Amino acid sequence: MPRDSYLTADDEVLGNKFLAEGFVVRPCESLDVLHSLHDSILRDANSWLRSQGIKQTISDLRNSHTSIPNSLVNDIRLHLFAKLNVDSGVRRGYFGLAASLIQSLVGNELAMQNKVNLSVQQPQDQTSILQMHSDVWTGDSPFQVVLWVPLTDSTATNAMFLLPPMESRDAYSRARAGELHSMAEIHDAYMNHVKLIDVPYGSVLIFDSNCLHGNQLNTTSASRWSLNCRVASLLAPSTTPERRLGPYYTPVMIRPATLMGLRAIEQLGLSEQ
Amino acid sequence: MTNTASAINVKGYTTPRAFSGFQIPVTLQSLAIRRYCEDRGFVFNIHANENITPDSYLVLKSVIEDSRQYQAVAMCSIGMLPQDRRLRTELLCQALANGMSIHFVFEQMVVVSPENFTTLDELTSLCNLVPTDLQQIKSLQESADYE
Repeated sequence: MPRDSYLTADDEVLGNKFLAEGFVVRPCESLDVLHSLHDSILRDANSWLRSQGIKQTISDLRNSHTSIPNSLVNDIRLHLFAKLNVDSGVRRGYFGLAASLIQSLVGNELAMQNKVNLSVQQPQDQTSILQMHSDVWTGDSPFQVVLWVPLTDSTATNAMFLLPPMESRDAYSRARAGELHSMAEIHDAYMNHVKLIDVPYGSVLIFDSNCLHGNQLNTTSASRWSLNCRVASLLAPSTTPERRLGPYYTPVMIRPATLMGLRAIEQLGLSEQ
Repeated sequence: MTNTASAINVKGYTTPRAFSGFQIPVTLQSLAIRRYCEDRGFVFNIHANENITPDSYLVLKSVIEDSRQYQAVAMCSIGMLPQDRRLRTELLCQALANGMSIHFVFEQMVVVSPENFTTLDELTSLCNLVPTDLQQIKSLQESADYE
């Protein structure tokens, strides 16, 4: 017997595509905020360069490699990451880039990662390669999605890659069965099956972090800058204390019925059991 | 909850006890608080470490009472506060009355007024409610199977 579903037809289509492919790409829902994030990161990057005595500033993030030597990419990235997260309004703005899409895929009671992350991948930079991995395999909630937003066009080898859900599950089964012995072996066995995901500036990507993903050496002539942050259903379980509600995610949408329940639990003394 | 940007004198507060499912070495807690202060241009003051006795907050109370030197206290997580809501509220009220804000590094939260207590209480309740480890999830699955 098929399970009941009262999702709208649009959400059904979207959900089925997401479950089959492990990702969706859609237009950004708040271009003003995206431009503002882009501009403030560019401004802060140039301030940092000046503070380091580097005279050639960045006019376009796509060409950041002409100003930032690859040896300094991680330093500037960490500086910008810290600066970004000092502003408590950034998470709200970031959520707004895909608020409707997130609610269609995840739900209408939500918890969001406490920090927005920044990635920079400049041409020929070996130090920024993120090997094939799955966030969930290393302790993130299996119920989370990742909202990934490029600040430059993300295409060809400066895009991230993703192994579709079915192949990712297959890889995990083979690793558990002892057939594949390392992440490197998994990488070699499945690299031909991964999909490079093109995401132009002005669009957003949401992907299933149960799927294996990563990036490779950027052999294009353009740098790729992107932001990412994780979102899960508010009451979804976690698998490790480190990646749980509180230290890792905080609520961004709580509906009245849940607040009502929390109050009732406390009033009835049930929380002490 | 808000973030404050002005330079303020912050006292670090750490605990040798487990909290929020973690057992984090005090030196690493202190390092996280120091980094949090650096990122915001705050002045970090070396941490005060709580006693190991369960449910003891003697050190936290002292830090809060010592408000002449500090404008804020920072700790890793809201899970380090008393689980007892009345005691928690009492401590936070005293800190605010002494002109101190209370910062939580992991949650990226700052309590600057009594209006923030609700958010903190709700998050504490939610954290206690939602399963956070595989054993709890397994128990849920077993009860679902049984039903």
